[in-house]
Amino acid sequence: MIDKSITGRFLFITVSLILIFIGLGVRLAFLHIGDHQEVLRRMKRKYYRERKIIARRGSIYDRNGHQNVLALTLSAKHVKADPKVISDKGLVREVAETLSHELDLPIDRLMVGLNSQKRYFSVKRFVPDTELDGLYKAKLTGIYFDDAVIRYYPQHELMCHVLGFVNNNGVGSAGVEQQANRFLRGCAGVVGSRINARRKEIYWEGGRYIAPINGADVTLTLDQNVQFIVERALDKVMEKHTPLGAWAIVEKVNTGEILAMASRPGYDLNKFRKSTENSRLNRAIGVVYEPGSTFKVVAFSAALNEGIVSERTVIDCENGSWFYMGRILRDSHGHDKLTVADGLKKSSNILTAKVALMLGRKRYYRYLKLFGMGNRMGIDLPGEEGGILHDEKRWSGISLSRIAIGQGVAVTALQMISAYCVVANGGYLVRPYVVSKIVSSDGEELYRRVPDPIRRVISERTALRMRKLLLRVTEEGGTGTRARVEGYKVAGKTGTAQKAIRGGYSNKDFVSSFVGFLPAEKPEIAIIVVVDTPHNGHYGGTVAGPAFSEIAEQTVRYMNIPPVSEVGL
Amino acid sequence: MIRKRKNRRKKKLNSNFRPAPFAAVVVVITIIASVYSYLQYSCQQLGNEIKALERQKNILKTRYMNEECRWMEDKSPENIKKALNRYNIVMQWPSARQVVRLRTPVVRNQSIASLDSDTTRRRRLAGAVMND
Repeated sequence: MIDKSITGRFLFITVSLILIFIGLGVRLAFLHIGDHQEVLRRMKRKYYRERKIIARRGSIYDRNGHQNVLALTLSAKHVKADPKVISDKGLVREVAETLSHELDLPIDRLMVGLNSQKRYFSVKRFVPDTELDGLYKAKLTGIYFDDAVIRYYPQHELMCHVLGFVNNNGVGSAGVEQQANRFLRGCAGVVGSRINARRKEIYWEGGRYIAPINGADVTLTLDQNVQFIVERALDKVMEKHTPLGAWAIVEKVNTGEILAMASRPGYDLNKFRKSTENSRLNRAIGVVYEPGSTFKVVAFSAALNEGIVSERTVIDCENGSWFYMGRILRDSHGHDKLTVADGLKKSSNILTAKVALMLGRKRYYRYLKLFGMGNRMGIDLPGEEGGILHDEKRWSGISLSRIAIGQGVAVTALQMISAYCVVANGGYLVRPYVVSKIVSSDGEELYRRVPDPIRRVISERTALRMRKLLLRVTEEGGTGTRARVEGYKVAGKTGTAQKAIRGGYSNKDFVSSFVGFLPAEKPEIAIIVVVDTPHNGHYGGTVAGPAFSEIAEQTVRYMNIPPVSEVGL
Repeated sequence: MIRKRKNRRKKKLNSNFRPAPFAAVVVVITIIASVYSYLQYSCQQLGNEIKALERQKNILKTRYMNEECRWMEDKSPENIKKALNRYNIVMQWPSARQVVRLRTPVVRNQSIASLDSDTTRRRRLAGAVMND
């Protein structure tokens, strides 16, 4: 009996073992004979882990380089939860309260999200590391963190329209962030390694490592202090005159470097999702307006350059009301006869229209094109408008007389300041720019901008004569006395343009502006201030003039630009 | 019986078994295994160390970036203005009369005409495409 039972057991075990081995053999045979490549691939995938290394997006500096960082990349976390784990342990309320407190989130949303049997719930995305200390300490069950990066702008609202912002996918979506995205974004790296059954890395098996290439750093031509001066001046204008908008540019006349470019209303770059489309608009390059009297500089420059008139040429100003081609053209103050020099000083529309008529529509149109009207200036920022200048063939009988005084033509502030830079720098139209250089993360200079004179527009002599004429505007009796700067000579022009409405021009809505440069004897910087629909006054001299003066006064001191001489031009 | 014993001894002596080479092989295998284990262990240790250092580096880098950001924020013109206001410090630019210039002004104006002729630079500039 005993023998039999032993034999039975022996047989059972033997058969079992044989069956097991046959099974394993069959499996092995199938693995080798069948589509083993797929199995191999699956196995490799299972025991191979690849991790993306996020590249740091390049920083943006102002013209002083590393001293003033305008945009940088900070590490952040996506906070996520496993609601099943939390609800199974009955910790929903406790976790929700802590999350609500630490991340400033509504508790009801968290309660709903966490009280479920799902395995994933996104609590909050892109939380800066600095805000997570409390959450790390709390060591909450079922809460996990994913690595991420965020773009941070330490100056918040300053330079918002120039810098632009980066969207959730890390792509620059406005301003320099968009324009130089190719350089700034960098290239993500990869680290791949074999892992064992416990998901631990097997170091000696080797792996794949592709280092990330961090983004290049961009240096701007803008100066954060000049920008601050400009933005503060605009804020004052917004407060005092409650306009629809106000914008200003400060440019170096010889090189085209933009020192400041501001627009109001603005927005906080770190909260760009909460901003409106209106506040995101860079009005300095993206809004066209009828410039009014500031545009007269084109007609006068052209006429002087062509020798049609001289400063002393006397023109009849019709006592402030001139009937021409069936329409009346008026001056704000009536004058009998004025010299060309006084006509510009007093901003006579009639005199300017007559000068333009003497020049002729073909020649005037040619000068308009030479000054860059109707075309984009080609600044290295997205969203630039080219203005509106109809082809000369489409002009009506009165177009010439109206365009000369800045009606029936639309420009951007950038085009206008560029036209004044022509006068200031001796006759050259220079392309404005904001990006000075781009340096890769390993220090290699990838891009360096050099001043780009587009063409000569007027002769040096004409430019000098125009400077003398524009200087008179801020002298006693001129329209721009409030734009003066103590100790410096300012050349410029006021502009008060009625806003175009359906069927004509508004009598209560204006665009007030002042464009000028200083020191008038040897110009260094040009400044334009434009105010859209101001209240409590509407003249360019009284609304934009003081803002110009404030910006100019502080900028020349800050930039240590000396007053040139006392002897004049 | 005595004869038989002798024969047995002889038989043993004549077998192919060599203790010394066998021991050598065992020793070599043991050494290789030990070296392999040691290397594996060292590698594991180094890997862990590198990982820890990388983590530390990342933490420090993050902290550095955060500090830099905080510093930039603190010294922004807006915050400096706020700080001055907090301590009732009023700062004004000196008037033109208060500025004493010891040197004649340096000629700052770069001739724009010289740039106009510099076609090489302009060509290089035209070749640089900024946007995607």
